[in-house]
Amino acid sequence: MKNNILFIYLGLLSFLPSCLDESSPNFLDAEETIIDGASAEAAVIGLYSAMQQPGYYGDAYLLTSEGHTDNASTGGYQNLSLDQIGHREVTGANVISENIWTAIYRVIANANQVLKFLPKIDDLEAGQKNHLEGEARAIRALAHFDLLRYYGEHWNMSSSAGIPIIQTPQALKDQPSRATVLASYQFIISEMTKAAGLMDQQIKDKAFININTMNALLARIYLYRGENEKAVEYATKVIASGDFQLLDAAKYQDVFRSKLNAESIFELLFDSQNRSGYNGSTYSRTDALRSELNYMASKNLEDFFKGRVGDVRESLLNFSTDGNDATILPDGRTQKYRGETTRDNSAFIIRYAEMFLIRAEALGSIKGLADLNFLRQKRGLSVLTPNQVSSSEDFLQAVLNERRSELNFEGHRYFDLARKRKIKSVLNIEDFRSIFPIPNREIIANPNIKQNPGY
Amino acid sequence: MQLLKIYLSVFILFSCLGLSSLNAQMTDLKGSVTDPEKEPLIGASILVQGSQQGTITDVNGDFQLKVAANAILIISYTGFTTQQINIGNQTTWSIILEPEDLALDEIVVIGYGSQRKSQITGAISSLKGKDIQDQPVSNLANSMQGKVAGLNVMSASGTPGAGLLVNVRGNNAPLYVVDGIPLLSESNSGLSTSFDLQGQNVGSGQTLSSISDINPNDIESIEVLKDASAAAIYGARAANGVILITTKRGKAGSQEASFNIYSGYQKIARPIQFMVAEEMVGLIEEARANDLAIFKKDPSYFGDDFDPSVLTEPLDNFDLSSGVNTNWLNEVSRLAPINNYEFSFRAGNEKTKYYTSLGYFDQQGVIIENYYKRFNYRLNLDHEINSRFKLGVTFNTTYSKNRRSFNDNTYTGIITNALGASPLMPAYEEDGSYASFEDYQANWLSDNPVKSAKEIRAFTNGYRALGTIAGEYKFSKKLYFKTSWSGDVNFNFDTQFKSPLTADAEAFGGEAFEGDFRNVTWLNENTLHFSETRNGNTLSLLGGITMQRTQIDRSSALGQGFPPGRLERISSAANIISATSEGTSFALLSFISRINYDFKNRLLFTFTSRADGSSRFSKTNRFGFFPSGAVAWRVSGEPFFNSLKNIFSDLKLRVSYGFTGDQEIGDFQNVTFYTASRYAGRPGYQLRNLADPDLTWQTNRMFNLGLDYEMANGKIGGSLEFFNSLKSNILSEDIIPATTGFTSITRNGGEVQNIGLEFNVNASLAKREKFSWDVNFNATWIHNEIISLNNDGVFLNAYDDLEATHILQIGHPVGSFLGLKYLGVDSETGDVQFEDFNEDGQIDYDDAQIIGKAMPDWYGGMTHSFKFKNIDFGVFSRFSIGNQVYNLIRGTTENLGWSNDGGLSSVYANNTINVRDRWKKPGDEAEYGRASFINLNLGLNSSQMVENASFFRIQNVTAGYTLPKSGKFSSIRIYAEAQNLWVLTSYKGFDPEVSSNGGLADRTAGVDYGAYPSARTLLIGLSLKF
Repeated sequence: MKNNILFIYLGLLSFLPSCLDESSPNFLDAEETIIDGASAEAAVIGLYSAMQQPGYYGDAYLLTSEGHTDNASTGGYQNLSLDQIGHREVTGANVISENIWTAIYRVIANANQVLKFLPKIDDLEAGQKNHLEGEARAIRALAHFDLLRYYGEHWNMSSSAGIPIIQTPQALKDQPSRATVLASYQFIISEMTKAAGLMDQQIKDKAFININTMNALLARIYLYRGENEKAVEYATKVIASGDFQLLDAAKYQDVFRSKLNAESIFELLFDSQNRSGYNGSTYSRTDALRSELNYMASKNLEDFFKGRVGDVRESLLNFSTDGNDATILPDGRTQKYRGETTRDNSAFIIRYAEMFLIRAEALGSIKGLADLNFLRQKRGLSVLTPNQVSSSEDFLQAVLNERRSELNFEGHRYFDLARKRKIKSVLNIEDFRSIFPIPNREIIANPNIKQNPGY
Repeated sequence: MQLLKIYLSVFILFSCLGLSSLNAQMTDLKGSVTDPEKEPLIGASILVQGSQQGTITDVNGDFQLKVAANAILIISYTGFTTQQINIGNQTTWSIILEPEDLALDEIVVIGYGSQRKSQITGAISSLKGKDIQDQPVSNLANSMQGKVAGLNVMSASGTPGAGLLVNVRGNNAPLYVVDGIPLLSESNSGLSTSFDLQGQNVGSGQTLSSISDINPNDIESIEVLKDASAAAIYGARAANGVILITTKRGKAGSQEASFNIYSGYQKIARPIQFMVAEEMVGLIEEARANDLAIFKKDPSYFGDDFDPSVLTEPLDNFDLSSGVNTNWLNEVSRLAPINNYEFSFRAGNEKTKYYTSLGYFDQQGVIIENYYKRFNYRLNLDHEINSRFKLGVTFNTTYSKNRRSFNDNTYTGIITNALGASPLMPAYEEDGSYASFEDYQANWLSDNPVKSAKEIRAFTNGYRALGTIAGEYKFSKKLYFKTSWSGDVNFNFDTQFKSPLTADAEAFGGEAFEGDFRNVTWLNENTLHFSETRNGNTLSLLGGITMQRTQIDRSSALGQGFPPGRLERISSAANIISATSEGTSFALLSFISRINYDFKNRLLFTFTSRADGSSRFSKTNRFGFFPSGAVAWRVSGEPFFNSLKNIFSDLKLRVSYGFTGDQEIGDFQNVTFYTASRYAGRPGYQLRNLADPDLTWQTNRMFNLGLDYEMANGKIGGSLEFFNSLKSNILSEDIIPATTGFTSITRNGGEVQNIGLEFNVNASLAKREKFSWDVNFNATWIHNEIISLNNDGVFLNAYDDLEATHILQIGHPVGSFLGLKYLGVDSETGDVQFEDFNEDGQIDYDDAQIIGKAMPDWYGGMTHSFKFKNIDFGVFSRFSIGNQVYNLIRGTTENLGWSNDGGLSSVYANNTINVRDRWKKPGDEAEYGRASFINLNLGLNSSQMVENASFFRIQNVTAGYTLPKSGKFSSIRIYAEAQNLWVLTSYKGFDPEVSSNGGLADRTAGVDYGAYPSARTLLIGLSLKF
């Protein structure tokens, strides 16, 4: 009898939920997630979210390149990686550089996942599906371009130091090599062009990639590539769209203080759940010490503006003791990323003003002057006369100055100096420092990746 | 192998001795040896006194012996009192041996059962409750420090309630099993993280330990299962060793109440000496003068537009006129009380027994505002329903409240700020407000540390209930079935409020974080036990099935903007910034078996195996099988050994080999997942991880050779162990090409070898009626080496935002430090020099190499216990040799007058007085370089910061007096105790035992970034029994 009770008990035990298949309330199997139109759209939203990683447009990508130029100096506690950037002595061990590299490839991996499953979706209209594919391809191409600017010899079409191009979800065993610079550009441009063709021309939301973004980015990429005619063509498309206008000089600060303003072509929106790191890196608090900030506006930038009487863009810089702690002086702070309580300032990935700068540079000294002067006037400056910029070298200098004034702290100067081969003369460092070293960690993990020359 | 040879030689020697026998005038003697219950004792030794002649009893307990008339026989059997009989003329004897309460044959708890120590075949160390009770520590693992060979317990910091670095034979984070319930090894608090100034999580913090909820005074015994044979019954979770904790239970027939109280004070044991105001100002002026002298010699050194006046103009707020001279360490620390009260009662009759206790522990931190309080309740109940059916209940509840010391691990914390603060800055202004750190010189600060301590109010509340109900049904004398149901319910609630006064929340008008952690584990275990003795050989069998499931839920919320007054909970926030909620779970299904075979109490065999299935792995790799085997030979039970019984009363040789596993990788690592993300108010997905579908168990195979000895009739006893273990298929975060989208993946790969020797001796040096002196000594030597890796030479960072501090490299131990090799100070220029390791003509971080290691080569402890009449006195000391610490906070506290400010208008941080030994003029041979305002003339992340952290510590001194029995009290003892009384070390930081980034990470262990200082405690106590 008693034994029977035992057997009944044992029998009951065998019905216990001894199942070893647990499922998570927070995660979805990546192979079974993108199954219909709604999930595909959510996965594309995720690409924008991925671009907001601190290593990419959330903070480090733009500011780090500024920190490596005469626009910015670095603060922080004894943060060796930050010091390396400030001293322009970046090594392959640099943690910040490693984070940038990783964050951008994370975006690419997410895009590849979308592009793998998107063709299998059948409940979307062709136009919708194409637009999603366009966004994913565009983001993937932009990510590759942003890598190329940091880690590849982007000015040299015969260089083998391009970047690894990743077009499919990677398996553990995959160990891609670096493409040449030319192949990198070819991939980026063909993808961008394809993406532009897939876009719904009616969608114009500036918080998302749209046809204007594509044209603007292509203008920038062609300029880097050295195909000036194409750069002019695409910049003109944006200008001709009529969707944008430059604000009046009096309202210049709104370019950074108001979201989705008339000068914004594509910006990433941040909010309280997705907080931006720019502010923390450059402002944090009114009375912050040097050691509490990562990037400060350099004295050199202040001196640069001293020669530009009337330039309203100086108003977004603060080099005074009013609002800055004495430890920051003689450096100052950019005001482009205020919003220290909310930390929701946008990342302006491409702005309208850049279109004029691209077209001016691509058109060259005589033809380009009009665009340059148009922008100068909008920013409170007098026009330059053709005589002042008659030589192409003078004109280029004028363009670079204008770019510095307009785009400081937006992650352009380092690449501008590199592509114009001015790293050595302006920054007084060796030429090989025109790009960052590939992170050592990548080279350890993938023996097919070769380090950049000089490092 | 050397050891084996020695033992074989000894064996041969014994055999030869055993052969010699005498032949005088002989009587034939016959007899039997039994225990009081008339059970034959097989293998009992019968020795003729004064000779080497003797025999042992056969399987029926019988013996025959030829002896000279009037000989004296010595009859001994392990676990029983040795008897001497004068045989006279009697030729037939029935000898009954009384069981002895010998230390060496105590009952030892093993997984799913218990054994006599003499029957143990594996490497198990046992501690009794008395070895660990009444110590002023919050975590019982603290009280195991230095007491067990092969177990290295390091306090990662002095934070009350903090987790510890517990290492069994070179493997970190053992499995804790409390009264049969395996506990989660991970930390549960959302506040156990380090944040940088932007609020980004940059590293793990001081973890809270899962066993700090157990009241140390409830503990009956602790067993450390060290080798594969002992631990394999816990299969897949046993690779890092198993610590079995058994709590007290009631006893039949007795009734005992006990009341214990102790009360004392703690202070920082080894404060760091900082410069006073005058010396600091002098250092800065010296630094500026040094730079100016260089400028005058060679202006080009400083660049074209350098204006030397910045080196001569007075610095703002940096002179002695204010008269302020703050000792910051004094400002943030205090003489902190520690109190413990506990009451327990145990009673029972033949049918029902119980133990119940109530405890309250209150430890104030040596850092202001910080404390840890714990309330415990326990009830352990055993009841015999009838002669076949027994019921057991174990129930423990704990509530703990921990006021956290903000960022006790990282550079924005209270301690780290206090370490760099300028003595010219007061804690408070004259109007009573907190001094604003921006107004005073010391750029290192992120806030006034006194303000941080008072105005960041962070609490971790722990609620835990741990309980088991178990039934045992006896089918027959030989066979019984046991089933148990256990639950571990563990909730943590974190609140953290940063007032608007703090730099961290000034911009937001106050910030609050609340985090909730809920863990429910249930466990069902069913075992069938069989045991039969036939012909003196005992066969014991164990088979069982266990099932376990753990469900964890976490949620948190962050709010900003709070109204004045003490409205500090999330509901009072103007803005809810973020909210999270997530869950995770895992399940385990296991089949266990163990066979013990005892051959005439001389040869003992154990075969243990466990098959574990885990939800953490894919279906195809889900089950792991972990077998082990062991043989023990009681050499002293052999006839030939009799002649040596005068020397070794017991000698047992053990050999074991087996496999254990590890699955501690967190849940849901075996599949590539999407997780939710959002953009512009719209929901989306992002890839969360990259998974290796082949992910499977990590295994640890271990060989163990052990020797248990007992000499001089039990006055000296102990053991010797040699082990060689190889962890393979290590589950680790391996780096992978970032082109996959991820930098690391959890996968199997790599091997780590641990070879070690352990030595342990207990000796009763004196045992008289009025005076006794007992000594316990243990020492461990260990060699840890990485044998293979998926990626060799991977850099690791103790903090995500700092340069790499550690490296994993084949041929070196886990936890090796990475950095530049420091070559000393150039006696002509005063510059610090480093080795150009890659010979590229430049000194940069590419020259980094291995410059040290965190793990010790030797460690151990020694306990002396004296008793003189009613006075008892104990000294416990322990040591560690060969361990190093990467003392990175010295980059701040020994900055030699550096200004990190581009404008050279301010000072960085105060210095310790260590830098008095600095270069001052050409020709000086100094430890530190030239003071400089412009350059940090110091080897950051270099071997200059790697220090020998070997130590000898007098851990505990206790003196007690027990009053003679009087009235109702059966015992009254008063005592005084000093904990952490004295440390001999050359280490410059607070304590050589330190690991700033928490207790669990052995790969990045041994970094000191201003971790919470350890305390010295003095207390008095009273223990009453009635």
